[in-house]
Amino acid sequence: MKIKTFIDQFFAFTQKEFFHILRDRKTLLVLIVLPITQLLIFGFALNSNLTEMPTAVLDLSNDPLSRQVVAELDASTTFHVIGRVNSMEEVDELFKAGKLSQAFVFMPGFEKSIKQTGTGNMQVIMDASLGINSSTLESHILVILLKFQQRMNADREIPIQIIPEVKMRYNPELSSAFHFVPGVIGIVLMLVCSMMASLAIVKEKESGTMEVLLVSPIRPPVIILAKLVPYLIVGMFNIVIILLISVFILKVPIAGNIILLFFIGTIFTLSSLALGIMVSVLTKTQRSAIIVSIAGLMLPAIVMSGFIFPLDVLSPAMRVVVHCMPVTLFISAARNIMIKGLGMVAVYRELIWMAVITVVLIVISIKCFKNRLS
Amino acid sequence: MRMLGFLLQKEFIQISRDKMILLLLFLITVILLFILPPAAKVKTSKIALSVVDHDRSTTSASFLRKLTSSNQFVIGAYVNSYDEGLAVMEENKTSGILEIPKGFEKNIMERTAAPILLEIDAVNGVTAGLSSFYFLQIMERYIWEYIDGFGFQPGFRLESQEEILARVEAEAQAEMMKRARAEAESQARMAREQSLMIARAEAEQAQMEAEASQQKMPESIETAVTRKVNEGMGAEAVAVPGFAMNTNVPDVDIPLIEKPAEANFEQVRMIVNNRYNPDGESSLYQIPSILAILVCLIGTVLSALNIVTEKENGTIEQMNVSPVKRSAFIFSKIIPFWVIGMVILTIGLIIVWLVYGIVPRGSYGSIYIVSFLFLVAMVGFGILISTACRNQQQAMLLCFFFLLIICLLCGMWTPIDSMPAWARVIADINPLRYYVQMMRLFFAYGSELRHVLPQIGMLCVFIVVFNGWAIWNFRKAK
Amino acid sequence: MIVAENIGMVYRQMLKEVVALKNVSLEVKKGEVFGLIGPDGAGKSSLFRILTTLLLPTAGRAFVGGHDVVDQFREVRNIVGYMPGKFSLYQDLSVEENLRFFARVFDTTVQANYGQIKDIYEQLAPFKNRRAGALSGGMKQKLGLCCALIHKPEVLFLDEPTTGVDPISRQEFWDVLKRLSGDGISVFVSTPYMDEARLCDRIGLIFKGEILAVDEPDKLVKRHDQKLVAFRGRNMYTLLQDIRQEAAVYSCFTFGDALHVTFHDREYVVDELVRRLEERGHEGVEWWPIEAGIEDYFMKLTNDRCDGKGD
Repeated sequence: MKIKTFIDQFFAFTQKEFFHILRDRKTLLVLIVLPITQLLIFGFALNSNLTEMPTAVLDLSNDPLSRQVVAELDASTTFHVIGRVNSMEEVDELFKAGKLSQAFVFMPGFEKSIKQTGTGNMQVIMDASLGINSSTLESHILVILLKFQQRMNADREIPIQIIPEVKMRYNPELSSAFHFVPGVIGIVLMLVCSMMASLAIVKEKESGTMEVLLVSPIRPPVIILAKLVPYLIVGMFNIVIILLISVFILKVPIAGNIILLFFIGTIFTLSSLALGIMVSVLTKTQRSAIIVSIAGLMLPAIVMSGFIFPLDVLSPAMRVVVHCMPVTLFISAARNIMIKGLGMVAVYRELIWMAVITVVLIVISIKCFKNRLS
Repeated sequence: MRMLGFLLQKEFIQISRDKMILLLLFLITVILLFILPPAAKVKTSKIALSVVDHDRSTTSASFLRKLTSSNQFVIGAYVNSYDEGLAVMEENKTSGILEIPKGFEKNIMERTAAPILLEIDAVNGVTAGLSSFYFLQIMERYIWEYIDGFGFQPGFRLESQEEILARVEAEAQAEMMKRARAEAESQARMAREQSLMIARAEAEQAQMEAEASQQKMPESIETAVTRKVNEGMGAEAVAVPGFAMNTNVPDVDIPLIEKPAEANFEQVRMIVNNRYNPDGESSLYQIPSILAILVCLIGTVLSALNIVTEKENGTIEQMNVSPVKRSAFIFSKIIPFWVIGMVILTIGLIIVWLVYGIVPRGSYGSIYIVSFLFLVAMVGFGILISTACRNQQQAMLLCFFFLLIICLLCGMWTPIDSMPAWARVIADINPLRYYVQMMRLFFAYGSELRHVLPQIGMLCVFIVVFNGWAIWNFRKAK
Repeated sequence: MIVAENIGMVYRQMLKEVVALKNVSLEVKKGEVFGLIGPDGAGKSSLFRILTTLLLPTAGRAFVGGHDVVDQFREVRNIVGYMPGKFSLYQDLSVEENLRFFARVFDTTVQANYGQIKDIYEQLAPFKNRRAGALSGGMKQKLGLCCALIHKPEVLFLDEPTTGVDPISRQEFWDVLKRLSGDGISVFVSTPYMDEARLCDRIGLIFKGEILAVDEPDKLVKRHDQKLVAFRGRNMYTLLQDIRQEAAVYSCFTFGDALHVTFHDREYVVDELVRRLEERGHEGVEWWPIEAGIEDYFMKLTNDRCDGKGD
């Protein structure tokens, strides 16, 4: 096929696509406002700092020392004692009703045990149904106990002193937003782009215009590539606004190169659009396409992208699977650039891999594009 | 009532015609339940550190050993400078830099302040805080165990500066002597092997010469070799360094730090009681929650799209001018999705049982009752959305907007208690929040319905509000 | 220009099989207007889709402009203009934008072939900036025809182009088709309207996937050799039923406000039937002889296939 014909057809088709998108003012508005709104909501709402976690106390010792320990724990911002109970059954009931995050249990003779053997035990029962906070909560408890211990042993001479200096790099205030905001950007961009692109070709199939298009010299690559262009422009526009909001409203800085971030964001948008186009080529009705986009993509985007769950605890096989999703690559690259201020050296692998996936998706779309009605 | 029956028949026929959708739903459920749970792990990983040890002393080494034996930290890289360590951290190979300045051991010995620097990659504020806590904890324990286990025996007295120095030097000498002896031994071994080879070569040479001149060898090769080697043995003994000849200083072992703390030091120990998850695997119970979210997504999207498709096709106009009662029409739209949702739930529960072995501690009955109520609410929500949309694209965008909020603010990923007040309000009016919590409770604790009455009550409120509002919109449209 | 040889089309759906076309063979010459006449579900759209390379036939071969529709579908798509049954242009693009788009897709410009569509487009020109979705039914079809013609195709496929269009526009439409065939373009058009069948050079009658007859309209009509009369009475419905029960009657169908009745015997005396009907109580029965139309011939053919008094 001649290059000139290809370019002509491509421009004709792209022009038509721009007509479509610019004439649907409402949808265009939604496409811009929706990601902004979501970003604002999640940027402020998602917070992994644990505060005022409901706690129950079963103190079978009830001696001054155990009461002191409880007071320390309650005084912290992490824990909030909602009640003292008298039996394990009561603890069970509270857990069963979903009222507790953890329970502290002291067996009889706590203080005596410390005075005699030097060690006293406090049992911690964590909410088994929500494991995501357990280790964090345990370490909070440990710290409080540690401080308590220090005060208990304050009169004992400590002959040696190691002075630790702990610095937090990139995120001195330990703001949750630093960790979450790149993730939210990735998820929202990906889902919106995939969703819109997934309707692109299916709509023509359902409305019948595809029938006429097929009986013409126009080739699948032209259709697919031309469909990507207007959404890509909208996506790029979205990226700019999203980054502005992140920096000025959510207070997540861009420590690194903004141009690089924008570039990666664009490639990422392209990959999400390509994913949507592939869905559009493979499905026959808008309904199927929408089900796949929303029910099929939302959960993987949240669970498998490194947004909440860390990637380094995954098995090697899972890690490969997870890195085949462009959103995982983007979130990791965005964190590197935005929070750590790193440059191309740190993200070139993600960039290349994203580009490869995009090309693969487009090629699959072209190959699977049906030249005929079935 | 009969009318409802006919309408339902039509709906089910339509649905069964569209086999693609049913297949898709099945595939999505199965695939997601296979790939999501392995990724939803909450194990904290070991924190890899770039270690810059300027001191290179046995004390710094023992501190590092203590650090790594805690199972929280791992030495990711051993570098020579802070900048090198930073470079490794920027490559994401380590999550922190530990710098031990020169004179660490000396400071500890002399009872002066011994600084140590830990810099943590704090992109994830929570895990960074965790790392910091663990580090401090390990450090404290190291200090106590150093005091109690290292140099102070029962009935001790505080050593003087000179005694300490002498002891340290003796230890150093003993260490050096041990190294020298090991060195000498290995050298001797090498020499021995060497002479063995030479002897063998000579013997073979002699053999060949003997054969060539057709003489018999006076002795076998082996004997020749052994004889040669024994001859050479004494002459090639390795000279041991002079100072090591003084064998009065006993072999002092560097004390292992893992000695238990003695009395006098009081501590409160935290013991984790795995009462509700004996195998410690609490992330298992997230899997039914993932299924719950999936049911939510499917139920809402399907019901929203159904009515909108009819609007787009214009078939809804026909309904408006037919003698069909509005209530029958609406119910005929709603009921099929209750059924589909319950079927998806059942398939999911079967998979969860077969593949992960997760069975609820409670009864399946309560799970189904609660799931049904939830579906009624969410299908109503889907219908409500569809009353506001004119085509499928609008329905898709509106569904997505709400569903993402519903999904992310349901308490599964970040704690609701930590959200700002306005977000907590959103979470309070989020049906999924209650459903997911109930699923978790049913599976992990075997909670019964009486435990979750408040949540069930909220679901009922949602049922009335969503469905009522949707029906009211329908009436208005006429 | 178009050659179909024993085309068969079978749709397989899970456990069911639907035979849409069986042994369809026909030919359309250059510059000919060929009409495919048949009721809904006869297989017209399937045949169209096969000839325009949108469907693969399950049996047989077809050639358009000398190119095989299966192996050389790209060449076929270059020389064909297609208007499917449903309006299939872009609703949110204007008339002009739609036209320009299709011109560019076919690597040409509106100006280059304006002569082709001039007479049709002049009626659309006042609305050239109006969105295609906002046009009336007739206007939509005209636009569809323009977009199909803009690249000067050799063969034009029109699937029910005049359905739902007002009679005046229909007449204009057929005037255009006549002009196109004069220019050497072959036109393959399907229509359920029998009066339009008269306007074609040749027509093919299709019923339940099979071609019943292919010939010039006048010649086909002459093939109808049965005695044919029209009947009318006060109670048309019972009249229809009673006539159908008569042994001498071959078929009886409603045609507009009368009944068309055919008899087995060419020499049958109709008054006999009238007498019997009046005995039954029918009032105001009148009849008159008529010339067979295409529809009559079609009814005869389909009746021959079924077993008799028709449905």
